[in-house]
Amino acid sequence: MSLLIEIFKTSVGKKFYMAISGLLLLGFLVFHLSGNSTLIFGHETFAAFVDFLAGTGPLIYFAELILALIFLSHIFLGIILTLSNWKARNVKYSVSNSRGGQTFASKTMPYTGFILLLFLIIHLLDYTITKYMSGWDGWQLAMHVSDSFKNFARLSFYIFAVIVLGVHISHGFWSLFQSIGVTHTQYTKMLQKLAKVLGVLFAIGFATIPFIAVTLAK
Amino acid sequence: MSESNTIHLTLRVWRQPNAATPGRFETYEATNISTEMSFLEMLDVVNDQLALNGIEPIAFDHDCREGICGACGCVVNGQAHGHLKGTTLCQLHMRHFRDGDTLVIEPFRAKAFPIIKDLVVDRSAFDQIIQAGGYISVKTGSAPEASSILVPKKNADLAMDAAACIGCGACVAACPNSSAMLFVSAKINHLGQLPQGQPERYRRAIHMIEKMDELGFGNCSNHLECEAACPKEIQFVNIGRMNRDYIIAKLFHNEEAF
Repeated sequence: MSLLIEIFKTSVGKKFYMAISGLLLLGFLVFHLSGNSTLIFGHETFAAFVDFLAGTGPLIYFAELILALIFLSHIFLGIILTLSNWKARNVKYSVSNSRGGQTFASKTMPYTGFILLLFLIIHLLDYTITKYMSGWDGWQLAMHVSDSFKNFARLSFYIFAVIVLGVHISHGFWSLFQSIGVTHTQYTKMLQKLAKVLGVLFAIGFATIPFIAVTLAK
Repeated sequence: MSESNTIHLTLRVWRQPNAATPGRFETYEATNISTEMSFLEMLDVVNDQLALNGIEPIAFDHDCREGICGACGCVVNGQAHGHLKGTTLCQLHMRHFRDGDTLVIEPFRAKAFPIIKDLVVDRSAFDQIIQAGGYISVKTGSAPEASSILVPKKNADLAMDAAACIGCGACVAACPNSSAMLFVSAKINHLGQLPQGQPERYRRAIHMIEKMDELGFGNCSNHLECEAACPKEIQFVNIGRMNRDYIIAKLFHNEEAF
């Protein structure tokens, strides 16, 4: 345990944890998207999936707790790293010119991260917390999902947020391998391309969910 | 020999008498600059003129002026060592600029590189990182037989690529986070690729990285600006290899051995 804390103290160690938590969050996104995709088969399938998860009892609470811890560590590390990076460049250049290393995604990682944090809070309030507070079952949640996306403001922010998520992943996915030392002159280039593809896939995947939900409600 | 062209430039140069006094930009005209001059020679000409006019010449670092020592370097129009790829400031020639250009010349900006004067920054932080582990411990004295330790060609090439780092600090200057990881990783991999570097390999990674953090350099966000700005074109994969050495050192090696 003390070793894990010791690693955390260094820049490379913090990036290591950032990468591992990012990878785990990506795993969660795969699960989340697969789960939500059950909407394609109708409200019943989605409701059955939600009820199945709720039926696992302590298991789902434990999984949610672990997930919350992963999210919190990713957010916490992101804040610490960004602040120390700002501190390291204490005086800004009056003229700043990229030589082509940076990408839009890499430059905006802290900002896309912050937008995603806001989205996460709103998203949890909209669905997870509302479901718990109202004591809804799967069917009621399925109805709520379909209803909620009829609100144009919510739908717009959701679409914006999943595009931001795609941008975040398009840098984060390859960057995490570099941070954990899985790097190679050739394979890293492939990972950079794969990251962009994954970013687009996640954005499109999540963006289709509200349209399916709204179509089902008609 | 072809006749050389001359150009006229406007320079906006960062002037700062010392670390304690705030700096500001001053505008100078650089007239009749031969396109065959290097950037530093252009500054020499401007300084001559400043001295004649009773103005303190611009302080800037330089030594070999052959692109191999790592002494020179400042930021020209937002790019460390200027806009030419794989080139130090002393090897950047004025033919790469156009007549009438305005050049904004600033020192390398990083908390770990405090300004000494004008364009001169204190890069002794790099020396401290090297002192923390950027060496191999060997018995000095009689020269060893050259082929007593065989080095595979691939490792020799990779070590040589990393050893090309001249420690100029352009990576820190170009990194939006003022991170020194390209420099540190080049030094770690230069020795880590060679048999002679193995006994201290993991201890080296830990000590150099800890020292780098202590000195106030930023973290790597994989922007890859460092690789793009490096006059010796050190590759960013070195940073990944350094991360690997550090993680292996911490997780799989007995720390008491250090």
